[in-house]
Amino acid sequence: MSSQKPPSPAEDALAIFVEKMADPVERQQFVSDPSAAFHNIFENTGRSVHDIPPSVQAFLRYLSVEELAFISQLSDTLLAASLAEPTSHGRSIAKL
Amino acid sequence: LPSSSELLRRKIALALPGLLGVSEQFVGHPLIRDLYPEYLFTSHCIIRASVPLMEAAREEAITRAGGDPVAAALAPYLEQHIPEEQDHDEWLLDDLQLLGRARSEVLVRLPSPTVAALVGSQYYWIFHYHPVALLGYIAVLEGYPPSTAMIDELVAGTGYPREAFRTMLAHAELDPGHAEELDELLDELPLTREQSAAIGLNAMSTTRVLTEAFGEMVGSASH
Repeated sequence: MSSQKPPSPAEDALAIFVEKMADPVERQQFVSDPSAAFHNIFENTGRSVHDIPPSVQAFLRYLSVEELAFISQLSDTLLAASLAEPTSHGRSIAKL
Repeated sequence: LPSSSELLRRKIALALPGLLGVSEQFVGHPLIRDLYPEYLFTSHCIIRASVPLMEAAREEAITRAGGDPVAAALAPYLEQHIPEEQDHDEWLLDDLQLLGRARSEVLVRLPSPTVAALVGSQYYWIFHYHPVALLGYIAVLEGYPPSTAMIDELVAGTGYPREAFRTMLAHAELDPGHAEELDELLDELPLTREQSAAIGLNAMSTTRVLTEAFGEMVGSASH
């Protein structure tokens, strides 16, 4: 039996969004008209764009086609990262 | 509307969990004493290219500055920032020397192709798109320095003298100030949507490839 928590509505909606963004046509449509694309993406999914926090929605609207393509490849980390606060205080071993 | 710097930090945050995960694996690794010199070597391979990269971007920005307000504002920022990054590769060689790794040995050792890809791709952005894209690389490498708590843990875990952590300690102190200067520049630049996307794309890609480079380094300890 799995002990994993079920995804929250926001995580679920974002997963649907990321999956759609793997398709170049969907990406282009999203950049051309984000509001219409949000509506189409969640049609018949049981989820809504309103499940995604407004700040995350606003952020997604700023992304280019190329950035959406890149992000669709980062789906493993996208959910946790984009639903969290900006990690300006994150610390890593990387430096210039 | 989010500022340019805030937008960039959010983009980096998407790719950052992987890098933070590798950092945690590194610090908590049972073979950290063997890994730390490898970390310094990987860092040296990256950092020895920092000043040459910024010099290349500055020259390209100067060339474009006449009809390009972003390039015109980028050049003086780099002019000021280059001396702040000067000789950091030498610090790493000093740290390595304290651990018994001779400079001559370090300098002839082959870098990984992942590091070459990480740094090499910056020349592509600079010369074949726009030098402002380098700010994405700088934002990642200066934006998330090691904390002093992390360095303390490394000193304790490796058993090496604190003097062998000079580069990490210096960056823990200096980088937050550098990151603020970069954020100020980003918020002042009249970036086009495409330039903003190029910086974001380069930052996310840098984070991913940097994660691969350090991940390979951590993975090498178990072989």
